[in-house]
Amino acid sequence: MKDRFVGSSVLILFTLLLLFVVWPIFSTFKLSLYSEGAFSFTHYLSIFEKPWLRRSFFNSILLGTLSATISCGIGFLFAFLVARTRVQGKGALKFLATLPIISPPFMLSLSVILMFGKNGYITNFFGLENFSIYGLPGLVLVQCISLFPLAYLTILGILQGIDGAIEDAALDLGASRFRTFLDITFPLCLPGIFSAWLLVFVTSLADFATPMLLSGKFDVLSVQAYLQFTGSGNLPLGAALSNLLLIPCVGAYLLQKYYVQKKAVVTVSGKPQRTGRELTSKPVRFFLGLVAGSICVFILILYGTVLAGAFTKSWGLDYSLSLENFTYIWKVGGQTIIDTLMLSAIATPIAGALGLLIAFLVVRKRFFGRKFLDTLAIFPFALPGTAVGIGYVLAFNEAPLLLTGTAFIIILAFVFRNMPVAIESAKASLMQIDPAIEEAATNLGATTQRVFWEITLPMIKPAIFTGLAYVFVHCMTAVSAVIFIVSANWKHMTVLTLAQTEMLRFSAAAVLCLILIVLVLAAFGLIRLLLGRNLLAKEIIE
Amino acid sequence: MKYLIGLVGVLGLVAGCSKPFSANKIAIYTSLEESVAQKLAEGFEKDSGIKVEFVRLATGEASARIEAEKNNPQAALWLGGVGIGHAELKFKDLTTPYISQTTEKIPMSLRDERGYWNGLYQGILVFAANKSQLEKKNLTIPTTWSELLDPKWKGMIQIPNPGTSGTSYNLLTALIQSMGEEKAFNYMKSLHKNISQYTKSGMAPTKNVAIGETVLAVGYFHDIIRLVEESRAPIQISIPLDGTGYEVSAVSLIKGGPKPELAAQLIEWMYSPRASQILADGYYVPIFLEGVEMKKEAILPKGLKLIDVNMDWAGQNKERLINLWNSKVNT
Repeated sequence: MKDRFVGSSVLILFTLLLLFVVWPIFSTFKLSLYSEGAFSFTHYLSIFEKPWLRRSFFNSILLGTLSATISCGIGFLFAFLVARTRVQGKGALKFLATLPIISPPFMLSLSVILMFGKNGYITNFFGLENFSIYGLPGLVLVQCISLFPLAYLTILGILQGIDGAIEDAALDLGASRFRTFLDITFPLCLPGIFSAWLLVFVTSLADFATPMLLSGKFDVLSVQAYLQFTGSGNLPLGAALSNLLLIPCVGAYLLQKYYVQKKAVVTVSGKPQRTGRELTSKPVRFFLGLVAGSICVFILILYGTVLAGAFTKSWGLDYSLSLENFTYIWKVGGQTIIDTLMLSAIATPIAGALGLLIAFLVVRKRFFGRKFLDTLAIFPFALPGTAVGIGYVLAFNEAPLLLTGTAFIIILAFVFRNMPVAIESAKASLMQIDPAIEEAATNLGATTQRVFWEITLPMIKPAIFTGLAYVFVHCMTAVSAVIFIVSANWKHMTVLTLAQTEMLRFSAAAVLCLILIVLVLAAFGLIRLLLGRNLLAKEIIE
Repeated sequence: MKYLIGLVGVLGLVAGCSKPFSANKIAIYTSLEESVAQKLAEGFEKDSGIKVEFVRLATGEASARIEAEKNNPQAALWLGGVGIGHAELKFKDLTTPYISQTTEKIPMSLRDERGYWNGLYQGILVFAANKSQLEKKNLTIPTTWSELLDPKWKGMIQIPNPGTSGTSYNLLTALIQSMGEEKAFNYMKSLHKNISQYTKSGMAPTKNVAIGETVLAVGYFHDIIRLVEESRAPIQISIPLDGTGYEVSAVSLIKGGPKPELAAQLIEWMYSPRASQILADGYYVPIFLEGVEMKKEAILPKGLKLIDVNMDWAGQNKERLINLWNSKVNT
C-alpha cells in the first residue's frame, strides 16, 4: 500500500463503482420498498396479489427453463459434432453456431414475424389459418436461435478440454461407442452443460427485445417492468418488478460462480489436448449432421428474410424491390445512427481502460479489499438490463448527479455494464504471463506505471482488443437498459428499431438491423487490421 | 497519475463531444405519427429557424416520462397524444397553462378552460378490417360495438393496451360514458376472448390490419385512411352506428421545461395555416379549417353520433380504471 498509484487508483475505482453500480441498484430498492413514506413490502406483495403480475413472474421462469433446456440441447449437438466427430462441413457449423451472437436485438423476432406472422410467407404458403407465433412458441423459437451459441461455446470449451485419451481407453477396453459417450463423455460434460444452462436461463429472463415483439398475451417480467415504469408511470411497481427479475439472475450467477465452477472436473493437463477417436457410427453421424444442418439452414433463412425485408418497399403490402426504406431511415434515423456510433465509440475505450486497470490491480497487486473490488466490478454482468436502466433513471435524475437527458448517462451505463467482459479477458491474459518478467523490470528500478505501460500492456494487447470488440458490439446492440435513458438529444438505433417495428414499418426496421450488422462487422474488420489477425466471435465471447 | 490525467482527458473528450446547446433548438415529446411529426418539424424550422428535436412516444409513455423527469424536465412541450393524457398531467401538476389570442379562438370543448392543454385536431374511433382476410374467412365488417363480441371473431381482433395507449384508454372511457362502468367492463371482458393481442402503441392494431397480421382492429379514422391512401392497404373502414368515441389530440407546455419562449412560439405556429395544412395532408381534421385544403377522404366529426367523454373525469380516474382493467379484463 506504499504504492501511491495503487492506493489512489483503488480509491477512485471504489468511488466510481459505488456511484455507478451500487447506487442505481440501491435506488430501485429504496423506491420499491417505500410506500407513502414508510418502509413496506406493499409493492412486492401487490405483484403476488395481482394475478396479471404474478403470472408474468411464472411465465418468465417457464420461458427461461424451456429456452435454456432446448438451447443446451442444440448447443451440445453442435459442440459434440465439432469436437468429437468427423462430420462434414464443420466450418459452416462453427460459423453458423456463432453468427447469432452478433445479431441486433429484434432482428430474429422480426424475421420470425415476417415468416410465421399472421401474414408471414410460411403461414400463407402452408395456409396455417389458426396458427399464431405470438406467445410462448415464438419466444422459445427466437430465444433458442439467439441463445444456443452461448451454450455451444460453453460446452465446446469443456469438450475440447476433455482429454481424448480417456475415451480412447474406454474404447480400447471394449466399450461400444454409445457406451463410451454415455459413461465417459457426457458425464464429463455435465458441469459445462449446467453452467451453459444457467447462462442461457439468465439471459432469457433478462431478454427484453424478444418478448417486446413476440409475447402476444404471454406477459413476462422484463416487459411488465417496462410497461409499468414507462407505460403506466407506476415507478415503484416497475422498480419492484425489475428487482424481482434481479433475484433469479443474481442467484443463477452466484450458483454458477461458486458451485458449478468448483464442481467442474478438471482433466486439463496443461498440454494441448488430442481429440478422441470418432465417437459416432456413420448413420448416427449422418442423422445428427442432418439435424444440425437443418438448424443451420433455418438460421440462414432468418438472415435472408431480413435482408430481403430491407430491400422490399413495404413488407406485407408491396413486395416490389426498393431502396426507399434506406432513404427513409437516413431521414428519420441518420442522427440516431451517428449518436449510437458516437456513444459506443466513447464508451468502449473507457470501459476497456477501466477494465484493464482493475484486472491489473486484482491480478498483480495485493491490497485491502482486492476480492471485493473484483466482485463488485464483475457484478453488473449478472444484472438484467431493465434493472440497470430503471436504476440509472432513478439515481441520476436529481442534483447533484443530474444526468438524465445527457450523453453521460448512456455512456456510463455502457461502461459499467460492459466492463466485466473487459476485466475478464484482461485477467485471463494477465494470469498467463509470468510475473517474473515484471518483477525483473521493477528490480531494475522501474515504477509501477512504467512497468505497466512498457512491459505488461504490450503483452496483453490481443486480449484487450478482444475485450474492446465485445464491449463495442454490446454498446451497439444494447436495448433493455438503454430504452429507459435515451432522450430527445441522444437516441439509440435499437430503440428506433423497436419504434419502427411497432409502427409495422418492417422494412425500415430491417434496414436498421442491416446497418447495425454492417457497423459491427466493420468494427471487427478494424480490430482485425489493428491486430493483424482474424477475430472470431468465439474469442469475443470468452 | 498518468492514468488520472488520462481519465480526465477522456472525460474532457466526452464533454467536448456533447452537442452544443444552441439557442435555436427545442426538444419536445410527440405522440403524432413519426412522418407527420417530421414534416411539422421541418415546416417549423423553415418558418422560424428553430430546429425541433423530437422523441416519439405513445401517450402513456410520454406522460410517464414527463412525470419521471419532473425534477429535471427534458422536453419543452408535449405535442399530440390523446387529450385525456394531457388532462391527467394537468391534475398531476406537470404542465403549465398557455393562453393566447389564438388559443382563445379554439372551441371550448376542444381545450382546457384554464389553458392547461389546447386541442390540435379531432379524430373518431372506427373499425378497420383487412378486406382479403374478411373474404377468406367469409366475414363482413361489424357496424356496432356489440357485434365485436360474436365468437366468430375469436383471436381476430386487436386493440391497444389502455395502460400504455391513449387510443385504448379513450375507447375504455367512451364505453364507460355510454354504458356505465359495470357494463363497460363486462363488455371489455367478453371482448377479451376475441382479442389476439393488446399492443403497446395505439396505431399498431390498424397497421396490423393493413398487413394482414390481424383481421379486425379499432383505431382512429385518420390513421387508417392514411394507410389506405398512402400504402394502398386493403382496409375496409366502418363507423360504429351505435355511437363512437373521439379523441381531442392536444398540446401541453411542460412545467419547468427548457426554453418556454420557443415552446410558445411552436404552439402558436401549430395553429398557423401551414401547420394546419400539414395536419390536413396527414388526413387529420385541424381545429382551424380556414384556408386549409382538406383531403376528400377525410371525415368531419360534424353530424356523427359521438360519445362525449368528460376529460377531467377521465384524467383523474385513469389509475383506478387501468387497475380495474388489468384485474378484471386482462386475465
